[in-house]
Amino acid sequence: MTSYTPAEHQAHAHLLQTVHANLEHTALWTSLTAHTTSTYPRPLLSGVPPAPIYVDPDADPNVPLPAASTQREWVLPVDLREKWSPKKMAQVFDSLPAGDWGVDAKGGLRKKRLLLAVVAEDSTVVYYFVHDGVVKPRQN
Amino acid sequence: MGSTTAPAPPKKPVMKKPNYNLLHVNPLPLTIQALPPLIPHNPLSLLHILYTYLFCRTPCQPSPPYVGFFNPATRSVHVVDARSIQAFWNSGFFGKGSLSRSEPTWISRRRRALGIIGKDEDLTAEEITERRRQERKQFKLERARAEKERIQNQLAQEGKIDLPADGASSPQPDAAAAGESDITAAATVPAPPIEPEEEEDDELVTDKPSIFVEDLEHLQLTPEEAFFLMYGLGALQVTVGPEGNTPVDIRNALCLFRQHSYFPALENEVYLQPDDTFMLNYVVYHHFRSLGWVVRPGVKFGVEYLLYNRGPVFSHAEFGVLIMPSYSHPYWANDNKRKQKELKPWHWLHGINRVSAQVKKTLILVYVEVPSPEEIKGLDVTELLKKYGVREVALRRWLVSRNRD
Amino acid sequence: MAEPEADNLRLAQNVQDGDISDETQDFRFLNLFSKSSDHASIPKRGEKDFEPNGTDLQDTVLAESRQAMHDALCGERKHTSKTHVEGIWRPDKNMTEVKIPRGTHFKSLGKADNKGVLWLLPEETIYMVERGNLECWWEDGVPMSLEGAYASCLAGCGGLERYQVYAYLKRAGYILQRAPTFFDDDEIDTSPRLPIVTVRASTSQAPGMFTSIYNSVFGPKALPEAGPLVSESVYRSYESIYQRLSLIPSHHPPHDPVAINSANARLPYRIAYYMWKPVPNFKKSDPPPPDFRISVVNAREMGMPTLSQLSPLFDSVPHDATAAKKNLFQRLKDGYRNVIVAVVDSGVTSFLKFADVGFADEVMYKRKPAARRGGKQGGRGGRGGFRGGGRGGQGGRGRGGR
Repeated sequence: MTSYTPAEHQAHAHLLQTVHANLEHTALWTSLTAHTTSTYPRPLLSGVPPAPIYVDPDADPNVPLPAASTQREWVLPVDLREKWSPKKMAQVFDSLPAGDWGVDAKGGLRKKRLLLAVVAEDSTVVYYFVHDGVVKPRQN
Repeated sequence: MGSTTAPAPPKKPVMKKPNYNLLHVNPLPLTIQALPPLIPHNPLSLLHILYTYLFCRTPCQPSPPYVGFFNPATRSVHVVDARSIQAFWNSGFFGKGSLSRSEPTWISRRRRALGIIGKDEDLTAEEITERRRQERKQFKLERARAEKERIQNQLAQEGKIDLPADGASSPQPDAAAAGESDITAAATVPAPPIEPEEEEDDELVTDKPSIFVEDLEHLQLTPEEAFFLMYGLGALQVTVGPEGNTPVDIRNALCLFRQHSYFPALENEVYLQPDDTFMLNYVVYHHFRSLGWVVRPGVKFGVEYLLYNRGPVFSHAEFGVLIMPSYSHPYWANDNKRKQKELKPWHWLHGINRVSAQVKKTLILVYVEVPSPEEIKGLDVTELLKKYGVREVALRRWLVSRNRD
Repeated sequence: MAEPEADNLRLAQNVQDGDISDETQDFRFLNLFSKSSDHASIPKRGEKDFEPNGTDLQDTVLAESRQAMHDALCGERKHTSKTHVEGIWRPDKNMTEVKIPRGTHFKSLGKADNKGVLWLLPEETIYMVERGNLECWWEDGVPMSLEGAYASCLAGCGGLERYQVYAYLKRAGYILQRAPTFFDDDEIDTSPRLPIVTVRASTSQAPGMFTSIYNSVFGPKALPEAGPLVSESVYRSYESIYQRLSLIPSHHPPHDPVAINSANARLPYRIAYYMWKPVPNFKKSDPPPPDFRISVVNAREMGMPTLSQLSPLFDSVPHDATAAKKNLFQRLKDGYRNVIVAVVDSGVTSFLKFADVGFADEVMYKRKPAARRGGKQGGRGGRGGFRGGGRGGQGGRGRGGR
């Protein structure tokens, strides 16, 4: 899809590696998979966190969350210095597999979501939820 | 999580803190040979001073120097040697554990996970935070339950719903789970096909506390930290190359770090600009370090740096530093791109300032005067750095209702 | 892993640092006659429901709040005969002539001429008319509407943003006067200046017993061209090591009263208003030095100040004599000079205090460990009493520019 310069290629490979290590060894995610084929505009990761990381604000608080997550989450590793645009983000969302996103707590189709993993040069990874559309905000 | 029947309050683990004052007694990874105090009525003390003065003459730099290698992929210097890691963290809080929040402690967490060390032994900062975060999660859950119960009761009072027969108390979670399993479907969506991957099986090793655990973590120095340790202190030898064993001198390190402060990295040093990220950052980093602050990256708070008094184990960072390149030099007068870069919108500042205020840090705008390319042409490191100038401006939200009296 | 700031955020949860003006208000507080029989307590001002929850109670509360606001807006506004004040707008003077000033407002508003006539500035005129404290007339004897007051006076107020800030702060109880630098009419000071006048090269020499002994024996050493700055030799203290590291030229704010120069501060980064906290005995003809100095900027037209805008703005305000008495951390936050910038974004105003500080004047490495306490302190407290390298003038408060 996108043709890479060697410099970009190298940069993206390390981003993937750093975030992979961070998820595997500090956040204890499992089934981590790198998605580097041309299906995706740039390398992505997916994996399963040890416990659910996103609680639907409409979920019934009296229903205990499952102790272990079965939800595969998508991760987009980026460099702190990169410039992003809604267009680029839309391309990433469009490349995620359709279907299998399930329903939200109110029974509607769940919006696609990913974790934006921002890598800084001190090895800090800052994660942000990004949804493909508007979702109900969570109460602080 | 789960049962609403009052569980015994969790015992707060007794956490024994190390003696930080002792552990971090040196503010820099250099050693000094202090002269003993002069005691006026004790002539021997003078001899002691003389003796120290004449014979204790070890240079302040470590011998051999601490080592690290530059990794172009992570744009940083990796330190793997235990002696160097210890010196950099303990004396001045340089670097960050690549798998930890700050101090490299991944191995402790790993060993605990494997049952080699006890549940509450040597708790790391991450683990303490994690426990607090769990409490916060629990609090939010309780709040949500109370809120839901309040609304249900109100709806029942208004005759809109019927409460379960067992009265006003909140339904037992298990019963609720059975009755409303359709709602929880979101949490149990079938996952996309999993491409399996080799995974260590934790359960197999839990009963073997003597197992050797390889430390996968290194200390990662930002280019600014590494350059300060090299150029400022002379305490670090950085190597490069595919084998990571070719030493690089200070001048070349500066070039290397500047080229890699672009994304993707610049192939040729000819294109380096006086306002490249490394120069702006280093000038500010060096400035605050030279005044005795412990300076650490502030990306999590949306700022360039955080300033700590003594270090992160002693107090929270007092200040967040935002770097503002300033193009007052006449050379830049017609450079519209630069002039545009100098203009920052208010909403950008408001966002950062709100975050800083939330975590009780004062925002410091650090304006860096950028010299013209001619001014710095061919200058060596020290003269180059002297061509920049910094000016701090403290910024705080001023509340109308708080300043009246 | 990420999010270590959670503990910090959590800390912040406990601190009421909010500003109610940020929140949508529950206007039922306006409804003085509401006799709420609900045992559901009336939400505090600023408390918001998260979402509609389907209860009638919530709908009722919302409807009551709307009604209360509606009633308040519908309320008839009357001048009481005791404080009824009339004025005539004089377009040639761009001021309102008040024959018989009555009421407490005039303690801080308006200026009397030598004939005993009180004159109101355009912003004072709109403010008084808007409050219902002044009935304004055209010169030909026709009463002036509020719209008329805005139309006539706004141009003389220095723009809508300035008036909005003026009125907002007045309503909040402060006393305001135009600063001498209200207009942009003074000559730019063209005497040659360096980009930052106050930046000084850092010194690597500082007195100290060990350093002086050391230097007397080995002589002062030039900083090596390509480092390391800390040369390979014996050091007797960390202080002497830090002194070797001192390199980057930096700004030093004035610690003593300095001459005020407002000529190079250009709009909008000029001081528009002097402001005082409310005091009972304010003398408008001879006010004390102001508590605050306000500059007003339209966020949609102008970005954050660049250094070349901020520097002359600081130069246009006097030095704060209380700075020397503060502890080190407070001084690094409040600075030696400060300006409040009111940032108006389509009618919503945020106030930011910009302070002229100098970190190079407050070196941390000289703080003695004895004065420090171990253990993590929650960002605050435990610091009182420390006076790092206190200096600065004892001189009185500058009163320049008036």
